[in-house]
Amino acid sequence: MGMIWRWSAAVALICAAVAAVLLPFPPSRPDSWTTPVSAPLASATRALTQAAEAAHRAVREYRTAQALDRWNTARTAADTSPIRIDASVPERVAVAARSVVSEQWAALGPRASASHAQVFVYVDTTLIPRATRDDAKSGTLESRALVDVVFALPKATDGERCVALVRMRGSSAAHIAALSRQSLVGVCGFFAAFGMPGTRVGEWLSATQYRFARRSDWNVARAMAIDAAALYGLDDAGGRCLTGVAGGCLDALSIGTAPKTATLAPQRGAIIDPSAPVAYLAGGRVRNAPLGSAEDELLADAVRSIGVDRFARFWGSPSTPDSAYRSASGTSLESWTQEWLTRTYGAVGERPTVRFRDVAWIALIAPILLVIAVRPRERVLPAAR
Amino acid sequence: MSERHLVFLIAVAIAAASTPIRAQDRDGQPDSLLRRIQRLDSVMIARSHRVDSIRRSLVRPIPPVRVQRGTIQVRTDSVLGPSVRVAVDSVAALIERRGGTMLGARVAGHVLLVIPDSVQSAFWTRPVVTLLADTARRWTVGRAQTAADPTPAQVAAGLATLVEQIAMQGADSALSAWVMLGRAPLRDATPTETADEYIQMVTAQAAVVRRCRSRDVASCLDALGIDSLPGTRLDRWYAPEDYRSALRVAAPPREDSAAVDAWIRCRHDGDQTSCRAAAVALPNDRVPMPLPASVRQAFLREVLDAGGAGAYDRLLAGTGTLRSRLTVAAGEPLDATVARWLQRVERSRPERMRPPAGLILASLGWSAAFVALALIRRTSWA
Repeated sequence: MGMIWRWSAAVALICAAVAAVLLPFPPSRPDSWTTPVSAPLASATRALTQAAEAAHRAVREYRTAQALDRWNTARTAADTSPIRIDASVPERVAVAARSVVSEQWAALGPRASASHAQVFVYVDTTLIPRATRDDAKSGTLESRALVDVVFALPKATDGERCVALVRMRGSSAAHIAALSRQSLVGVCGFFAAFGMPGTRVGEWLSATQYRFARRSDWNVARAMAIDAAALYGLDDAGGRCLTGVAGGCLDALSIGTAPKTATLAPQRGAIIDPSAPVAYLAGGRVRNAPLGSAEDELLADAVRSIGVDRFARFWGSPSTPDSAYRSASGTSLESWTQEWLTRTYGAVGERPTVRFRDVAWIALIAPILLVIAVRPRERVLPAAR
Repeated sequence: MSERHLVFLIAVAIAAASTPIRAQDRDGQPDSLLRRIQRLDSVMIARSHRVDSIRRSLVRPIPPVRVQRGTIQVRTDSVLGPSVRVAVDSVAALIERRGGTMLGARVAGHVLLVIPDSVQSAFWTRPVVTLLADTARRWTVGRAQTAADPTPAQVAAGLATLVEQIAMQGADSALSAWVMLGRAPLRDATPTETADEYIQMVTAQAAVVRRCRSRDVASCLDALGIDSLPGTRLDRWYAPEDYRSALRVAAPPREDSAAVDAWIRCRHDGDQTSCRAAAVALPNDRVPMPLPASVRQAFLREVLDAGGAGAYDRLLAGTGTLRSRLTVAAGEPLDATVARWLQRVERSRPERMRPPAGLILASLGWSAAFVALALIRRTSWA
């Protein structure tokens, strides 16, 4: 017992010496150049962010409106071609654009029809002038890109067709190359292959801004995520879904709950702009995408998984998405989504559990150790001379 | 109203209702959308000015001590003043040695700050000295930190870092993209840097670097990203035996599931066939560079050394390809620069690592402590 006290005292003395050297901790300098942002600056920066967001949203609306005007102008009732090229597109670019669109359209499979989808390509090199020209900071209001692709859902067009509005900002070889690198069918691929969605499925897709159906490349076999850290990009609902917590997948899919995507202006709900930033809000906080960065592939993978015909039944069903999926595929949407998450991001490791053999070993060894510990220590006395 | 009129009006109403959404329908006229953009843009610009104005008002009083040598001007406090004066002398000599009006003008456009500061550490704030490239802005591009009680050499190193960063500010995108690190190598290389450069060269698992080390100038220029040889990057840079190494830092796109499977097998099992399948599936822009940015810095230093005073100005003012600009800056054919650089790299092989004296002392001390504890255990305290 005395030895324990001596050791404790020695450790306490060492700790006291270290504390005496380090304490008091140096205070933060009030004149530091790295102090937190001042309140007025934070407020002004927030206001600037909001203004910038509003301005850029207005720019996107303007461009979309212009594109729809062009599309409407040349529209005819008997137009059954999956691609329409605007008169502004030079002939050699039109040939290249047709080739790119035809290739992507063919990948949708034999079901693809122009009755519910179309790709509209036009050239528009105009710039939107800034409000003040003499400002040193004035640049362009639009991001730099060679090609912009926006998807106008049927509500924004003629009520029947989803139109991919492809704006080429020039007609050089670089613009054509950029065209071939982008998906020109995107969400409209689903309309082309499966027609108009059923009532409740359509409502779910609209409420979630088609974020699970942004890619229609179901002809491509995707490997699981290579980056092990991609798993951490899931929101908590996605995490619950992956770990098999009941209701987690439906939460992540926003089925039966309020969608977590930021609400946009009503007329923007019919326009899908893949380049526009999308914020996922829950309780006023910006969160990760519920199903991670790959969530835009979800329904395309569902097409691959259950087959085109069954998916078509799901897509066109008037029922709620989960019951429609169950009746079309025979499996629940929840369990399929969990499988998809596991396949895409990797399985979660098993929870640590107490194994029987560990308990058995401990039960065997602990008494032996206890006996050794409490055994009286023999003192070796110096041999008598 | 007659029945004909009523039918006509209903027909017009139905036609209007079925007219698809047009730009005009959204907000009146396209012009009105443009006017709205202009209005929002004005608001954005006004708020941007407001942020700038607040940021300017937040700048602390400039430290009182002013130190100037040539084009470099520094502000600091009275405690750091003596160290800063000595440091500024050496940095001014560096600027003069690299010479050129452009570098001088760029440095003269800044008032550097050397101020006492503090940074957050795990449990408390740690006093440091911060070096900033500007007094006007709160978050400046150029920034360095050093110990709380720095020697003149430490201050000089921090100031030289700022000058190197200032030298690359505003450089054209082609040169900036090639340099990658955002600073021009104006100082002489330290022994550690030259040793690292040698290690990078001899350990790079890339065929193009091996060819470079055997004095193939074209391969050196390709490996350094200055001038490319014909063919794809994979073919130019890597031999099949290098694929596994290259695939440690690059992966094929997820859409190519067969290639990703091969990539996983290559990484786990080292299967050469899988490595080849995964490597050939890499898009050209995903093939990893054979040499890191630090080697490019070292080569740029060689170019500036070869060009002498004014080399930096010629590099920045030059036009044309990167190769021609580096040639003009070096003032000699680039082949000669590459040859000299290779000789220097081969000469800079580091000595075998010598264990530091502190490590030896610590080992002896701990050993003695354990022996002492063992002896104490034998003679019980109880």
